[in-house]
Amino acid sequence: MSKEKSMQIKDSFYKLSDKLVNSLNSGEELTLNFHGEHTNFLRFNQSKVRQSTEVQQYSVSVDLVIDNKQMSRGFNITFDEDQDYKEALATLKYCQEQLPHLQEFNAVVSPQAGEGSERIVTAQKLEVNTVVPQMLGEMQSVDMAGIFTSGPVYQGVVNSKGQKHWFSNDSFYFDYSLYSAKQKAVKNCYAGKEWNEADFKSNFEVSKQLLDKMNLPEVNVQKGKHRVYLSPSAVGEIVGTMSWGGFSMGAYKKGYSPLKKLKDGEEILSGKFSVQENFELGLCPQFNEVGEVSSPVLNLVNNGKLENFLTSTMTAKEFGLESNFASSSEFPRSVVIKPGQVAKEDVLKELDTGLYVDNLHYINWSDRMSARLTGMTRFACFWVEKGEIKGPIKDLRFDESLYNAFGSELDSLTSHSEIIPETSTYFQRSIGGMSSPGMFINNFNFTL
Amino acid sequence: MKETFKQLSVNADWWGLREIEDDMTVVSVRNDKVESVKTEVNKGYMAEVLVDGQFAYFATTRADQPSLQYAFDQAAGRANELKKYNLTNFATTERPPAQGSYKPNAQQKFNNDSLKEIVDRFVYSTQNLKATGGIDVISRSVRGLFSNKSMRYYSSNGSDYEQNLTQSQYTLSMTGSYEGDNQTLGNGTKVGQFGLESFDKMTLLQEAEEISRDLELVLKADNCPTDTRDLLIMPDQMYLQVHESIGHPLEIDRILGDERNYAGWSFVNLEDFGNLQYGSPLLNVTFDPTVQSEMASYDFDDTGAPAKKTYLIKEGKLLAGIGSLESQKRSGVKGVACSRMQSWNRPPIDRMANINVECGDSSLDDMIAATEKGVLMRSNKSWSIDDYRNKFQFGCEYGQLIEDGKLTKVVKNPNYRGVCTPFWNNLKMVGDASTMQVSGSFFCGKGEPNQIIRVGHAVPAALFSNIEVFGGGK
Repeated sequence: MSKEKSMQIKDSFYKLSDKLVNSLNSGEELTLNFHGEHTNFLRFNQSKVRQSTEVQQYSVSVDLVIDNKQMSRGFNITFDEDQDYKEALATLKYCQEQLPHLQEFNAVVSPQAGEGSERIVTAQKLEVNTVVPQMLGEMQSVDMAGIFTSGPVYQGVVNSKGQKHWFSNDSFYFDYSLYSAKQKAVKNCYAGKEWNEADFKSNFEVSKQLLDKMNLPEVNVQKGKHRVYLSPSAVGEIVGTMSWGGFSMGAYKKGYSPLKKLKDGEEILSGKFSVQENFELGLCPQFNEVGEVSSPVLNLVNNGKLENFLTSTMTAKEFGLESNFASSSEFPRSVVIKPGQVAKEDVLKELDTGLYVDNLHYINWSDRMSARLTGMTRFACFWVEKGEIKGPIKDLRFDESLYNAFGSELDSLTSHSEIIPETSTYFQRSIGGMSSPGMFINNFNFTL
Repeated sequence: MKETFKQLSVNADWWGLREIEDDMTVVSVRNDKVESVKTEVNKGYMAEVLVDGQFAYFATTRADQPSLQYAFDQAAGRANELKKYNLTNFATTERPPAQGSYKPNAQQKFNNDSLKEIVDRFVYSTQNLKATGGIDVISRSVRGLFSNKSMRYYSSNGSDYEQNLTQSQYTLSMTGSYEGDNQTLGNGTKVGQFGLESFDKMTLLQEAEEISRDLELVLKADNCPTDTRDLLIMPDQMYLQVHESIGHPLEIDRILGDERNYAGWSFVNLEDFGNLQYGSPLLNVTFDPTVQSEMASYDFDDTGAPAKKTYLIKEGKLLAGIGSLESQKRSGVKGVACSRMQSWNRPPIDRMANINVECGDSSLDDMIAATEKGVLMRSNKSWSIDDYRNKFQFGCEYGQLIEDGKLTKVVKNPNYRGVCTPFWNNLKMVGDASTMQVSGSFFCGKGEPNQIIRVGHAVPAALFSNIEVFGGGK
């Protein structure tokens, strides 16, 4: 994506927004959110192309506030100026007609004035017919499944108080897994802005070497409590699930926060565990969907103590609190988990005897009030004895409370962190990611 | 659109165009206040081509003829680039012509007057969620999704098919606190092809009263015991058990490995079809997109395959898979009309539609009476299953012990875990028609790129023997 293309799309959105704001009646306030992307998706199975899909999608959501009543309506835009304006006016009219049917709500968030922002990250366009031969050329010796995703993503916010924010990013990721003849698998992701064949080959070599270890005889590990090493990716899966209400002030106030007992002082986490919302990662915009700009860094859990919940202005208004300009969902957008002391090359030695868990799968709360999670091991997971890999395991189910795993049983963390890019593409491409170290945990409970 | 399609000139062996519009409204009411109303009209166009055995797709929001021509040209160009890396050499037989119109009857389609009515009913429902027995009520809420979705499909080999669906889902729930513990109890979520007619105030009042009564019982209950006993699963949990441990494992594209990098594989192998005793002889499972009012009923799937009722499992034996025409070609296994796309911006893949369990001949009272030591569970709150869809664990909002043929005390945090085929072979009794409930979900996730699809499940209550159950706590 060129900078010019991003500016062109931004200008179209701003122009449409200005026209709509100018059409407002007295007492009406408006916020417009823009999402756009031009994405190439290539899906692979058995190191061949399964599906190819190119998507150009652009949408605007109109959020109207009148007298403490609020609603939003979205529509797709075409960059046909007249057609888009006509659609925008019809959308605004719909909201104007429907709002009187709603009651006033004291927590409605009206747009505020403030400084705007602009961040445009560009990259050279990746030509599919250049990249695919490199990818598949390397992969012919193995059985690979995965997805290659590339292209620009755009986000923008404009409100009737004059705030304007624009963010665009151009990136790719190749999220893939390799399979042995015995159906054992390893997973990896090669992501960035510029495709580099040498870097990709190096990434693939690491995966292939790990896959070789999956050919060792399988070790039958019994259920029960085991010492584990959770890779950065596995830790990321857990913290990702924690984010379902775990860091949300609204969830706490509405009675479903899994960290209620931590907040209420009934449980503690380990002093070694710290989590921040940290926009210095630079993977997503600092503004939220109402144009508010969060602090660059906010401690959520600091040395085991809950310092801050993410608090949106809506939650703050409803419960008489101070907003820290979280998104309306109060999900963290840019998580950084504080690393520890264990060097990367010492991971097996530090684990000593136990389970090396590279990935976790399908985690859910099994008892939310006890912060207890269940999920499965997946991909490259090994049994290790005295610092030596003995062989891959059969997948195991865990069921364990965070007050144990990230509390009394958290032994140590690695000194290195990995960036785990957000690869979700439900409805549209997500942006952002997480920085996470690996963790060593004692007595991790496996049940099936 | 039909005329525009006719004017296109596409350099491909086959091409098709889908125009999809989804007008969706999401309403949340909490503590008698409208917390959020979000609506959107998501409309766009998917161009699909087949060139020398390779399909390719291009999705756009633009409907004008030059833009659609560009979309088809891009897709054809991409198919040409990629055909040498082709996983399967597809043919036009995987895109049969579909003609007709699917418009289910007896539905009140959502219109500009609906929001006022929905808000009125939802506020009424939370007003009737009430504290009983000294519990503290933290939150009384209801959330509903209401969609009018239309699809028009044209293809170079004569498809001209239109589908109009009105689909809804709502969840009424209350969260309370008692002696430091919080619990939430809901109505189990109501889902289907229905409009305003299916959640009148009388229905909502009844649901609110049941929740108000039962939340107190749950909050004051002990944890579910940890042991092995019989498990009576009510339909509002059973549907998810079927979805996760029958529906997903039988998807042929999973078995063929398409999903290995994301949603996962399957413990089922291609040679299991026609051979595997998946469950006890009481287990009969159908793919049935013909049930009016169930979420995923239609005449044709999104590639034009005609839909009909098919037994996937009969008397416990595995007979057919959830495999599209593409998957049937790749696997040689009998499939169904299940190639479905989330919307205009995603390609079709193998998906569940309505996956139903046929009712048996036991009343709920029969099943309770036949249980010496057991637990009844209802209203799902947690689910997790491995990437082979084999080892699962579920949690429910409400549990009640069964002792010597009688329902006794309520228990909280009821959970159970198991492994697919042993579990389904422990199916001991199946509820009769009086226990059947139509359910499903708006949000079944799968695919790369990720896709959400709407599925239906009509299921009875069912009794299983020797299941590992447990409660909550650290």
